[in-house]
Amino acid sequence: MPNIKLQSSDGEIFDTSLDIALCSLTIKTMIDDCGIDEGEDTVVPLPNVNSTILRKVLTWAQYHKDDPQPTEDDDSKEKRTDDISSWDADFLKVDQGTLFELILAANYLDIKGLLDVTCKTVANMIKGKTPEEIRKTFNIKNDFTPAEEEQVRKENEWCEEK
Amino acid sequence: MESGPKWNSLPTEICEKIFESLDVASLKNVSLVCSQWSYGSEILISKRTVLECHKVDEFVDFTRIRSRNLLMDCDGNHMNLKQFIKILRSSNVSSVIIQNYPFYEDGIRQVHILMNILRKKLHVKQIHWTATKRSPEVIKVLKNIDFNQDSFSMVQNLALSHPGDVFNPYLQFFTNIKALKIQHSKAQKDYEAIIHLIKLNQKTLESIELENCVSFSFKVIISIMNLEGLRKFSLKHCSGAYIIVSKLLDKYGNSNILEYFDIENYQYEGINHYGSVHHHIIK
Repeated sequence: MPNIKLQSSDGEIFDTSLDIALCSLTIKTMIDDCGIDEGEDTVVPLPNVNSTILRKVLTWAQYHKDDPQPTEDDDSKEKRTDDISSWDADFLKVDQGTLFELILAANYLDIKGLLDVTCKTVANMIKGKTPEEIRKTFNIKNDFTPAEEEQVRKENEWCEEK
Repeated sequence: MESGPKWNSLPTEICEKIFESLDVASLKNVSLVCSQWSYGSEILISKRTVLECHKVDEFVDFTRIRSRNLLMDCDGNHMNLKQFIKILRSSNVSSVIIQNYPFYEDGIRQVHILMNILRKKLHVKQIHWTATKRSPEVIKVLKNIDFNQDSFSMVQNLALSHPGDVFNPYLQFFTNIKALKIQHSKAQKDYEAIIHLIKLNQKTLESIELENCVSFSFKVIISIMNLEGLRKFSLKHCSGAYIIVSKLLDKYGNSNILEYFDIENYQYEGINHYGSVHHHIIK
């Protein structure tokens, strides 16, 4: 498999195997649309991903390059958050800013597997926490008045899991 | 303080994707974090919850129902039907489940009102109706209801338990059913109504489940076997159905359409299975 050059937003060039780069549907589309042939010295610019994050994305893609492609059926399956592999869990032991940057990069690069696992990691940070603990974790300001908060509480009081 | 992007830098669709993985208990907490999160979690909560109407006496604001799936379990308290109707009038539910409705005489008028509201609710796509008691008075009322051909035309999923005289008169107004489930049907006249229902929906029906239906009607099976678009046909605890299992196997033997379970005294290809439980899924 030939190599391809990817350029991060801060100008760093990453020379990587094409099969790893093709984990990203965004890169795949760019290559298809531009008609890049094997052996060409073309650089694919990725203006929305900095070098630190792109390096991590490529590490993730290298590890998962042989994973089966996710299907539409996977989307209809019940969402779980307890199915994160130990490798991914270790890989995502990063600060919150980096985790959000990885989510944004996975979204921009259209890498479904990475987007899924990063979103699940954030969901796990929410699970089991009170509203106040969630606000503290993500530094979110409570913009409810006490009356509004009570109203939301009452509206959801009667909802039970199907 | 954390560096890098904050939560508010995430696009809405990403926030929704994160919330999708959460259970309802967590979503309830999410809805209380801030107004933006409350809005984002609202749809997910409504998709995944059932508003249990047996608690309705204590319900506060009928005009702001979040759940799209309405379950009414009367549990012997017929007064709840009035409250249920009040909710139904002011909400945009797409699924209605009515359980254990006792047909007490003073509840009959409410049944009439309920059915008239349901047929006008164009977004209701699923009705499950379970009756446990009946009253001859109900029949008198139903005879006077003025329905038209468009009634219930949006309902695609219909499940009836103990259909009988209470519900049979309504069956002719369902004309767009994809999935039909009948439980505890015991009378010959039920089957006449069901056959008529199948005929009316022969172009749309994809799935039929019959459970605990006794005195089985050969004609019902034949009408089902004539459906060209059928993808699932399930027979469970239907005594007497064994008589025509061989015909069913001839028709569906090479497909995965047919599933049957405990249909008593089944005999096919020289193998006898008497009484007890017989379970078979043809693959």
